[in-house]
Amino acid sequence: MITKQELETSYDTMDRLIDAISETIVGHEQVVQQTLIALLCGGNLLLEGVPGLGKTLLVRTMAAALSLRFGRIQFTPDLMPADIVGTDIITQDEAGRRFTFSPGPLFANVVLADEINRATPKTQSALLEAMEERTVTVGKETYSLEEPFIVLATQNPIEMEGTYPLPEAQLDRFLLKAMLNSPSLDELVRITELNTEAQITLPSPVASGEQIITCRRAVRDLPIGSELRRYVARLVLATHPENEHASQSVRKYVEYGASPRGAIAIILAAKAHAFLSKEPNVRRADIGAVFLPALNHRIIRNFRGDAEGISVEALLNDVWENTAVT
Amino acid sequence: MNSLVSTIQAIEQRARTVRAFRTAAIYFCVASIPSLSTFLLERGQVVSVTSVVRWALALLPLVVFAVSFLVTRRLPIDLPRILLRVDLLLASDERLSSIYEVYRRNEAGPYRDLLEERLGAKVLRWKRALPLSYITLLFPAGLAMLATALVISSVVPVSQVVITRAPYETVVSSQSSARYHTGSEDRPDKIETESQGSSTPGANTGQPGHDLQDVLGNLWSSPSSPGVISGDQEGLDQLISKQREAAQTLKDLISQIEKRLAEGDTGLTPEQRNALSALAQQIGNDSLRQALQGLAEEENPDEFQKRLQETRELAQSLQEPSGSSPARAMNNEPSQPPQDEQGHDLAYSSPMSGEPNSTRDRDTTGGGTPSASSVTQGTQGDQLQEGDEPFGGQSSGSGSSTPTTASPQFTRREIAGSIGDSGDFQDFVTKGVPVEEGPSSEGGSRILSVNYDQLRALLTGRVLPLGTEDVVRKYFDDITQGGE
Repeated sequence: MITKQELETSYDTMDRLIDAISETIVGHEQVVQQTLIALLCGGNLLLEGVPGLGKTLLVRTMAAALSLRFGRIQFTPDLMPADIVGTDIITQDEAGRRFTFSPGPLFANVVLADEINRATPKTQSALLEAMEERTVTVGKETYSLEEPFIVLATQNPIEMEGTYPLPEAQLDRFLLKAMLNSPSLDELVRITELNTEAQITLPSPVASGEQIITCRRAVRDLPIGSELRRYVARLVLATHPENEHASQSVRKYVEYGASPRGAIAIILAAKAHAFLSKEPNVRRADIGAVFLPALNHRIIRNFRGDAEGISVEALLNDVWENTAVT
Repeated sequence: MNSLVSTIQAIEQRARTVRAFRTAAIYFCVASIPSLSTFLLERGQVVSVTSVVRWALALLPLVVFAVSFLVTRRLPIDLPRILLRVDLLLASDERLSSIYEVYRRNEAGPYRDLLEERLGAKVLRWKRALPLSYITLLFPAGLAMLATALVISSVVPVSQVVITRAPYETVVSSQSSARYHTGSEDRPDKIETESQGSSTPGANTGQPGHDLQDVLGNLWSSPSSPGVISGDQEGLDQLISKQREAAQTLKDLISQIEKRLAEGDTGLTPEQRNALSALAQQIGNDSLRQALQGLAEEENPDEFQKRLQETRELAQSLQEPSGSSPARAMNNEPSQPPQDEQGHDLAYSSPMSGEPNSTRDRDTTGGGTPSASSVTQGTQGDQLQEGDEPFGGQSSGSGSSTPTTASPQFTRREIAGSIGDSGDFQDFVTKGVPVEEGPSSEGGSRILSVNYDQLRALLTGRVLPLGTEDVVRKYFDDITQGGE
């Protein structure tokens, strides 16, 4: 159980981190918040947006603000799993020749998987174990990853040629999917100022790994009413077309609903959201804030939904509107 | 913390009570259906239930309410859900349900302190979130009131229902031997009473059966009631006295007017007009009342003479032919037995037989007539609600000795063939009244009569107010002059 002092320290850590990120990143408050939520929950974040919106900069900035090891993997079609996780190589010392493990870029605290959908499914799947279990298995050996560990992946939604859409199993392992939108006029002006009049400087580290872990404990200790848990469960079940509480649109356009991991993601993310708001408990508003990013990559539309261009966001909004709290 | 724990406990208790009340209200409404149906059917005389059954039906919804309330209140309750509802209604950021979770897990920590601190005053308004809806309260209450009204109306004696009507005039005919013309071919369903010219203002119109009931009702009523005769010998004397006064006043007034006309005056003085109008208000006989009113308002001398003549003849026709004025009737002075058109004595004539009951004193059937007729006319309360005035002018003894000229005094429903102890004697006064059926007359009428001794035995068997039996006895003595 977290102490009051630890809680106050955690609040301070988050304040410093947000300030540091906002010095470099203009706008995108929601995305920054979702990134921090993923960090606090120990989850992974999928950033989706057209090129040039600052996806990579955001990840780099956050990694810089944290005094953590940062690893970057640029995904390409010819990238192999061993390039990510590492491989055994033959080394020679006084004892003779032997295989030693050479860790890949996955062995870091903050891993940027840039343009993750450009790699083959085989390589993409190499991330699965690390993302979910925080371990990497090479040959017969399993290596644990250092906490805190977070994978921040980006993908470009428009350049689809030569890409490999992420398999559902991998998508499900992302806690949130953050959508980056174009900046507003003022934000764009500010971006140009920062990028044309001076050299972009990444922030100095303001938080340690231990502090992040303390923050994570504080998030997990945050109370949530049992009836709100049931509400989240009803929300998730309502995304299933075969469920009795599913809305008409869900029955019509959804092939598969969200998995139980979706419900876990909502509650954890809602806790982190409440923590960032310095609230002592999870509110319905917190659930609402994370409902879309937690589920929009977990809903699979059917052919009719694809053909009619029904967006997952619209379906989820329908679920939100039609699910009673009590 | 303690205050929040007690608040949560209070919310739980309140939620249990509200839920139990709602559930009990639903069960109450359901349980009221058979009770209300039975009461309504009983009011409509479709079914008849004993007082035990009636009270059992009346108590059934209350018992069901109490049992369901107690049982439901003991059932487990989904407190987290209720707390979340309270949270949403109070806009307390779901802190109440969260702190309940913290308490339930017995967790200590900074969040618990923060929650207790931030819940603050908001939680004090928790009762707003658990209201008892108006429908929950009003619907069962309405049903309960309806059931209560039906129960009360079904157990309160008819006489008391009568008393609650408008204040009566107290001039009542006590001599009303009556005869039914109930021939098999011609059933005018009317009863001609041979009241000795007395009018009974405020009496039932055409409801002979109600005469006895009304008089009994008045006799049982409180002496303090305005215009109502008290239930003892004094009441009857008062009744007789008023009859006399009305007859005498009318007689004197007409004499005065005639004297005045003889002296050469052409109209009425204002005092005489007022006296006529006042007297007209006390006259129950419609034709006489209208004649008096018309006389009081007439301005044309010629028309006035004409109206005076008509009024005098009408008054005489109501008094003289029978040979017994209301006063005489009240004084048990002998009168001629009433006769029908064929010269038969006035008595009940059954629809099945035309023969008069020559073996009985026809005058004595006056006491039995109301009872017999009331048998066929339903309860008095029903009849009263149809617009009849208690002690109405025509009904209780404003009959004429010339039935063919007088308007029908009573309207009688058809007497069922099963009249008798096992017949349809539904009315509380006439229930079980031993009506005896005489031999059929030649005209196809049937004679019905009531034996006083049997009726007395019947009344004795009932639980009647103290002294009522004597009053009834006196009444029958008066109207039958000692006969049957």
